Amino acid sequence: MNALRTVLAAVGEGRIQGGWEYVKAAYAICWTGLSLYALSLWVRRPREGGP
Amino acid sequence: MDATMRRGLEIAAVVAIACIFAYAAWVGLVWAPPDREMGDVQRIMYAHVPMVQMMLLAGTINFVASILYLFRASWKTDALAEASAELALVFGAIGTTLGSIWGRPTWGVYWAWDPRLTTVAILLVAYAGYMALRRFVDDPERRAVWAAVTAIIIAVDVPIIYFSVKWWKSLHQVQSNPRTVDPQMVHALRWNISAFFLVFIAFLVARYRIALAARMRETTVPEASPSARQVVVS
Amino acid sequence: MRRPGLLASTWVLFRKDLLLEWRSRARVNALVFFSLATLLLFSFALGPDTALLRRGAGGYLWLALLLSSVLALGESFRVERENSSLEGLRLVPVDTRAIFLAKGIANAVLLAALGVLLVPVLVALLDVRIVLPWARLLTIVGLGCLAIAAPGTLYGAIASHARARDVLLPLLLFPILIPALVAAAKGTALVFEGDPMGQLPSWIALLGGFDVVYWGLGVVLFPRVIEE
Repeated sequence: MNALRTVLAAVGEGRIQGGWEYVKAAYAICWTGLSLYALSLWVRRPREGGP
Repeated sequence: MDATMRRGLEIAAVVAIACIFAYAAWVGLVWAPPDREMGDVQRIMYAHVPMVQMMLLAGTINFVASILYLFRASWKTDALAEASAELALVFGAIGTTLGSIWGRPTWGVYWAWDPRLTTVAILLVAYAGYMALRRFVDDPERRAVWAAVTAIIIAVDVPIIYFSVKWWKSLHQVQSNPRTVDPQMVHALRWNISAFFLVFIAFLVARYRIALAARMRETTVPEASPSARQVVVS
Repeated sequence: MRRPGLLASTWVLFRKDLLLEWRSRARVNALVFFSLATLLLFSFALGPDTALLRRGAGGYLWLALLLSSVLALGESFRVERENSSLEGLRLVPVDTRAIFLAKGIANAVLLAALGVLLVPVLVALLDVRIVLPWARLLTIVGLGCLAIAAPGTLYGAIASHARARDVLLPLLLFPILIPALVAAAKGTALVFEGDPMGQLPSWIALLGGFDVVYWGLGVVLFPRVIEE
């Protein structure tokens, strides 16, 4: 019984535990990237009044 | 519709898109259940998949606009081609990075020469070359024609690149992509795709205006191109 | 004056391009030595384990050809630009597609000659053996060089009139050529090491398909590239 328990503990649930650091990193990069691009679009916006 | 009303509508649209985007983020990060195998890492897919889909959409728009330009020269199609190429670069670069981050806990590596990921990476370099070409050609008409030719060459290569990488990779093992079948996950993905799509459209409109304004600036100065042919602005 | 046919124009222009290359033999010699130098560089960077080098020989050959092609293609259009001969050609009633075909084939021939020259060097330097029939190797070299030449000639024409042309040409060309590079390198490696699983026909088919697509595209798009 103990041997079975040890083996099961080593095998695990078959599911990745936690991993929130990766999720946070991914979403941070995504939101930062899109925000910076939006900023660059704002900065480059055409001046009203025409050429 | 006068200017202030249009301004008001634009601000309202931006606010609405931001709200939808925030809601979709909540759906993906909080409401959706963790995956059976990937756990919470699955949530990265709610950003990665829409970003790459938007890149492909941008690439398609770029391809179509380029073909249209060669058939009938118009600064509008040229501006659309320029805007969509830049969006393809931005969405593709971020999307690929997200995919790579997802790969670390799931595949165990940041990169695995997966055919789809590799094709997108090659496409990013190709579009960077396209943008470089646009920057290094001064004559607006030549720039438009040559950029259109380049865009067509790139687009035609996409399926060829994909298959060649697939064959090349199949000499070794093939990574499988997990499928999202849980209806809650589908719901989360749909919300996020819609949200990212709206953001994409907003960016496209903004970038298109920037490009068109630049074209107008370049072509209304008489000394700009001595042999200037009349180009239809329709 | 009756406009000469496409094939006739192509042949005349092709002979002109080859004659130009022959007259500037020094330039071609420099190209040969450049490609040899690249092979040496690979050997030093990745050696001295000869077994490892031998396994990579197919890849090195095509990397050397790819790097040399950038120089060759750049040169091919610099001559035209310096003498404004493209403008001169446009005044003569020549089918512009003939210009593309002639330049493209001339570039392919130059690269293929380079490739054939590099094979004995590979055999000597990296102890490579040619296990499959010679004809297969020549087919791969021919199809691969055609693959480089088609988009290379298109982009060469574009880059030669742009700023930063020396950087722009490889930046534009290399991503597009990756499928051809993969197919040619893998095919060459199979010729050197043997093909127990019969993969070679697939790679040759990929190269052939790439050539058909890009030569077709080139013939259609090149006139737009050089028109005023």
